[in-house]
Amino acid sequence: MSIKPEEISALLKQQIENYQSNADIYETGTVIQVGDGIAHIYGLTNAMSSELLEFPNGTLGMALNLNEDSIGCVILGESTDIHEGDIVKRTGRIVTVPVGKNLLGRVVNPLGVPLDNKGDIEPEGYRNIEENAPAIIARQGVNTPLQTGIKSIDSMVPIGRGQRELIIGDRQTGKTALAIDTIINQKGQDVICIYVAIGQKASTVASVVQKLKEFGAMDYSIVVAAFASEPAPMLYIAPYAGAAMGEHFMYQGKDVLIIYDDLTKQAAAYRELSLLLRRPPGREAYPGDIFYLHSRLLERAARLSDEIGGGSMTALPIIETQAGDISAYIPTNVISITDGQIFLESDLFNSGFRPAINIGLSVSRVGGSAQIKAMKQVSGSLRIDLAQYRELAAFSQFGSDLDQATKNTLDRGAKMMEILKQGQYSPMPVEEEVAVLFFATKNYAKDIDIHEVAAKGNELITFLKDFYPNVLAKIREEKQLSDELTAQLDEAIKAFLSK
Amino acid sequence: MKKGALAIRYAQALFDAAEEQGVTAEIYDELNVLSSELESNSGFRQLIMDRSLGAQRKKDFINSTLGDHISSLTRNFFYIIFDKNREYLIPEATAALNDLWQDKQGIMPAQLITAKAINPELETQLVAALKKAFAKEVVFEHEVDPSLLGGAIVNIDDLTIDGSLKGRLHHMREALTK
Repeated sequence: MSIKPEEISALLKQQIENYQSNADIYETGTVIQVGDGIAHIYGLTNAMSSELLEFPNGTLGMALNLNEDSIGCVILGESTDIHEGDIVKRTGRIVTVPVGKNLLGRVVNPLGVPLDNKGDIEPEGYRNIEENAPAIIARQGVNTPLQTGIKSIDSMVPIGRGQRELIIGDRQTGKTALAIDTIINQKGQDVICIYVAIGQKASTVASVVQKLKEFGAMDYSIVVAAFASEPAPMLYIAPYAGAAMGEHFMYQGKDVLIIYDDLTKQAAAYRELSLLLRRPPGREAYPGDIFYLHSRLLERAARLSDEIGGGSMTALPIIETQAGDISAYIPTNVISITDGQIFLESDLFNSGFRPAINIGLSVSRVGGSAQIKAMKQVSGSLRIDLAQYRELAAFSQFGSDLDQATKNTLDRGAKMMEILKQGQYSPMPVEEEVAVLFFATKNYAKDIDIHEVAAKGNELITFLKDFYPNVLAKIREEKQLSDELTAQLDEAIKAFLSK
Repeated sequence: MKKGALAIRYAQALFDAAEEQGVTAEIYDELNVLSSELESNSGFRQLIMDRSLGAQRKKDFINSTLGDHISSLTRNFFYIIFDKNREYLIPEATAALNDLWQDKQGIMPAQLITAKAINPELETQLVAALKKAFAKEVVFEHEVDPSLLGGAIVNIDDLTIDGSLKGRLHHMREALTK
């Protein structure tokens, strides 16, 4: 940084001239106890709840407990330089984050400070991290699909813009992969993506950012990262900070997708600071307001009515379970808050069925109304067919002599499962999904060897792109399979099979 | 001094009782004398603070040594403190009572920190200015801190009025590094 001597002189002159006119007036308190990222402060009688407080070394704190004669405050940053007896100043500000389009493509911490060495961010404004969710008048029903690009999700657990769909599963079942694929698939869809990493390793976040850059997804994304090494308060505020950044775009009438990865760690961080603040523990030692912690966050996802711009914020919270136990405290809470869940299973994952979505336990309570008609037409019976297949498959393990009808159902189901397999970082546009699912549900795969079905599905797409691009374009534009279009698709697939 | 909610309640009760009987000034004097004695006289402090001694023996001691020298209200206050085993509250309660007393007198204690000894004329001006702002007589507890370089800092309750050169320079540094 270069400072010209005349600038300093001018500033000094100004300061000296104004010296008599203004004295700083601020309210102060004294630190009476500090430790574990928590400070108890005496004084500051007028401090507001969740107000920012300033410690002498410039570190900020957030007032959480307002007691009769002291304040419990969490320290947002290094607490090693803070001592008993230190003077704490009020700032008069609630915790805010910078918002605006200049954040796109950036990696920031929960206070909006850039972490990617790309210089300062010029914000369009600031928003409180805690903001009330839109009221009912301000909302409308979910009616536009948010295509994840994953066949099994878009067909059977569809997600609409403004919906809250939970991604739940054990560790190493592909939860983050699902979220990243969804971000990648939003390219060119006019959706702003925010990825909030809570309590993850810095190396994991770095590789996610790397992947997003590789697929050109960083141009429309913001990454908010609170690493595992950071103090609990940063993990606690990270999702709210991300939500505030998203709301800014939502109220401008834009569509936003926000991913909270993951809320289990945020709940643990909140438990940590609640216990340190001496709030009474409840079940699993979580504080009494743990439900409110997640409900007030997820309620901020909304599809706004057209009168106020019609923007939306779709939330995909992630919850990690232990040994598939979805009836633990935090998973049940978040399941009950969200509009459905995508349940990932390690057994499926290990048997090679990826994405490892358990279709029986996954539901979307509102997304159906946002599906495009063509997708509804091809996936209508998919869910029930697969349920029948699973039932029969379990049953048929006991006996060997099966009648032909049963054998056919089993064969068809197994091939359908093969078609639903999809590699990582390869989300598909919706017209391709429709074509492949059409291929599977119309039983065109019955003469193909089961081991080749998945490959054939991919070949079909390449074939259609090369020789029948107008069919794909028509599905994309018309959004439904008219009789004419169905005939064309039939013809194209027959041509493909006879090739 | 930090004053806990409990100490404030005891002090308020004593103050109200004294007000009703019109003996607040005496109570204020007595409590302050006893409190400072408690601080400086280690024998007296040990005896009062000893929890194994029992309330009755402490009461007897107060009666036999101070007898009629203290008013009945002060004596009763000590009795209650002994009965409730809250001897540790005495210094805090005294401080809280002092606040109430000063408030009634229209006095506001404040801390004045300057770089060097302040000239009395300037102090009078400052007191007059603060009286205008707070509608109370400000009584300074004076402190000298050369690190301020110049100007002054006034601390009243939770409020800090920083008119020091150190504070200005700090602001200037912030403005320059931004």
